[in-house]
Amino acid sequence: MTPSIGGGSGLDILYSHTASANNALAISSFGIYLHAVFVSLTLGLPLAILAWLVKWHRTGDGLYLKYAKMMTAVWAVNFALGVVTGTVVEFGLLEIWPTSILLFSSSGFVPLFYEATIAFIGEAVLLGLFVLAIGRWRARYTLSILLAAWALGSLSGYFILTVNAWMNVPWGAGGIPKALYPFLPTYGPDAANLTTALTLAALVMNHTLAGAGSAALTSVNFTQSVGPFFADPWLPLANPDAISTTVHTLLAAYAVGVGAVALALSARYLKTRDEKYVKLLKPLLWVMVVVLIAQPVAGHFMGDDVVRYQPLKFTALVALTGGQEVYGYSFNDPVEALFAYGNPSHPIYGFQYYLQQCGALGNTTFGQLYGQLDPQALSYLGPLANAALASNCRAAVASLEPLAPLVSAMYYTMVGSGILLAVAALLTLFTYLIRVPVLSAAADFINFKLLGPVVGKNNVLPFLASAMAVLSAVAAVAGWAAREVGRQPWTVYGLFTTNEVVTSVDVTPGFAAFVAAVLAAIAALGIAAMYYTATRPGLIDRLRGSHE
Amino acid sequence: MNSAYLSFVLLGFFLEMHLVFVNVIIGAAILTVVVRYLAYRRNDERLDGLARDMFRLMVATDLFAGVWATILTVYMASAFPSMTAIFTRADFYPIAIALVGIVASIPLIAAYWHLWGRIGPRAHSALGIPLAASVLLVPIGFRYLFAELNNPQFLNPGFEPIDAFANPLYPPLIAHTIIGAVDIGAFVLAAVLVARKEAGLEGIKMSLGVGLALLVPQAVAGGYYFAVLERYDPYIAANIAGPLLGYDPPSALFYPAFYAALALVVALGAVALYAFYEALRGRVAKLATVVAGVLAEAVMVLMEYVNDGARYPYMFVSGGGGIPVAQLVNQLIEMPPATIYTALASTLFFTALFSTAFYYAVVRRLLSED
Repeated sequence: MTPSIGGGSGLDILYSHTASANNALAISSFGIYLHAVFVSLTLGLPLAILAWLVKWHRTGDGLYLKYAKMMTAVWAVNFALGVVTGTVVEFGLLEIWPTSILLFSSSGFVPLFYEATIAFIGEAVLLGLFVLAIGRWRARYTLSILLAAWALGSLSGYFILTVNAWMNVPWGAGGIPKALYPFLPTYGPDAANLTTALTLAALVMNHTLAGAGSAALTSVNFTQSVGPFFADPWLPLANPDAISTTVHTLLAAYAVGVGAVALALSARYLKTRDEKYVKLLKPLLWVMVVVLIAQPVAGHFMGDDVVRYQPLKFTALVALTGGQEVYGYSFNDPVEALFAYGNPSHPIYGFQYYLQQCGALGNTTFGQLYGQLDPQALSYLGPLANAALASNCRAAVASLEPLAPLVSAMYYTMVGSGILLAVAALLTLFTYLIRVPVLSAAADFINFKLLGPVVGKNNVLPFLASAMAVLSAVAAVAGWAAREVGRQPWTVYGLFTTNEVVTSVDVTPGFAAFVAAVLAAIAALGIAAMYYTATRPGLIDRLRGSHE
Repeated sequence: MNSAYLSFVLLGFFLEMHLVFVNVIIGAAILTVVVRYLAYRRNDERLDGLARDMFRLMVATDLFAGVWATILTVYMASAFPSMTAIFTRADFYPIAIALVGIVASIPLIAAYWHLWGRIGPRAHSALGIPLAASVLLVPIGFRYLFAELNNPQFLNPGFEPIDAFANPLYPPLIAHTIIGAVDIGAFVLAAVLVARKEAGLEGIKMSLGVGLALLVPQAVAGGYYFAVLERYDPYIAANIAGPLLGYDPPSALFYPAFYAALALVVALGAVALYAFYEALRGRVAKLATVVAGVLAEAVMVLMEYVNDGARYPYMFVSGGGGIPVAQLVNQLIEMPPATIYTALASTLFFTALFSTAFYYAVVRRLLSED
């Protein structure tokens, strides 16, 4: 039987989302996805421009330069939209989730500060310079600026994803999460000060019970009463999950960004039958294929991190294949076990296993733990002092159970899309980009004997390009949802729950609807602006002032 | 140098860099809308061209100001976590207003630019109203944070976020801010126009005229702001005015800067008046006009330094005391000096690169294709 959240211990308020938290989650999710769309294009479009500029440089064909200039204008518009949505997301983070300020002021300081002062400012300036330079300066200067801007954009992604990775795998928290949730592993070295962490946890939990955990930070004595927390601010940059997350997510962003261009070109070709669109499409296919073939490898390493550092999330991910057994102690799933543990007969643990692990905490209460480790913070605990650690642990496990099917559905949508993507990439590679004995013959057979009759012989290439584009977007959306929803009930894994982070100001349905309407308007206007820009090849010259 | 002081100085530096660009945006946006309307009313093509130049200046500056806003926000949350948390609670609604302004301004800028010449001049002029409003919403929202620092409402018993709007320090502060921004924008615009290969006399004359005309209301708004400061923040007022006005300032770091800024205002008035007089006579006083633009920015930097620095060693000031910076500064981590130095070097490098590109592309227009 599934225990109720909190197990009657009064801890429900930490784990069961309030209406305000749900409204906040809805608008934040919408905002982050919208930002991700623009950012994916910002990262992918330079690759399309690069491919065309290289072709122009090699062949002297003005078509490539014309479209590279047009795409540069789209990139500039897109970057501006990314800045707008990024500002909303950043302020939304601070305004709607104020406890996240702790990230800015501790483990996230170095990546966030570097993101703003090195990557973002550099990308903005170099993009501006590229807009001025393309078609006017020598190719090697233009290409250098483009590559530098793209590299800084990717670096920006690394810094931001490093912070997200720390929220998933709090590298440097050492054994602190394990002390509260025995099924969790150790997260790197012990860089977090134990007594400070306990004080922080007590303050935030107590304020959550009183209404809003984020209110703890609004005390003017907050930083003094907490003291030094994180000994090595550089450590999050070396988080193993930061590396795998960055590689996998950036590759996904490149695929989505370049895919959007490929989709647009395919659509134009299917509508007009103008061969120039196929000519423009081909250089992009190389980028798509390389990215999509590398993606399963990067995804595997990211999955390894989930198995190793987020065991509860891993159980949620496989809920659909595990069926009801996922709520039991353990079950067998040879395919998942092979990828996860390298051993098909390794058992996969169900939620009951984790609930049983919580029993290792015995009858110890928060008060007893604090009395032993940090007596000074006892006063911050308030009514939490009498709550049992095991009840807290069980409440955390129980709170993820209802979400498991959703997390799993997203996960398998991503996996399914990924498999189809890899197939489409291989069919494109061996038929249209390189010729390899046997492999190309097999790809030709599938493309022209099986696919051709269905989609039309001349439509196979645009069909494959479109499929790669759409499936990239589906995989990215579903994969990110699985990652983020699967992080529940925590915002920082094993340290802070979602309810502890949300604002003390009530996020009403009306406010959420207003923000959603604003975001939807940005999305609609943004798409319209990009379409407008993409359909006016001479626009960049107007932007540069030559209309006069 | 202790960490609290260093953090306070760095916050001030990032704020100043942001404001240098933001004031140009606000000023150029308001002037664009007004000049565009005048061009429509007078059916004057030269004015229309001038409005386009102003608009281009605003667009070129907008993104870079946004970049500095991000740097400022990240640093503020990193260095002063509880102050940021207080803002997000106490000024929840003003921040939301500013965000709406940021979000609305970008599509409105795009629509204003795209529709210029494509729809009737009357309708296009009308579109300028929401554009100007969206740009103004940003300082209208964010200046509540500065009012909160000088007169913290969240300390009042039974405070609710809606009470932030009742801050008595806010009206003079926002009036001073907006008039000042338009004034600075006008002088900077005149400097940009005069530095171009084909300097348009009409535009220079108009920009200088607006700048000069606004110096008087700006001085009145400044006096009003100081009078309110004197009532609610005698500590800041004493630091600003110093012994010359009979105060006993706790620090000698600010009143000299204040009087230096006043002297620069006088110099600005004189130089701008000379340039304006020359423009009336059909001559372009290039150096004087450029100097006026530089002086306008210098006055803003000095005045903001005085306005924000004079609270030190307090962050939130209330009467003669307040909540010290040292009490609010981040102690969760020790900020690595290497991070700060590399970040500063990077921002300065890219700002120099931006300024060079801006100068050649927008001012000198050496990169025009034809």
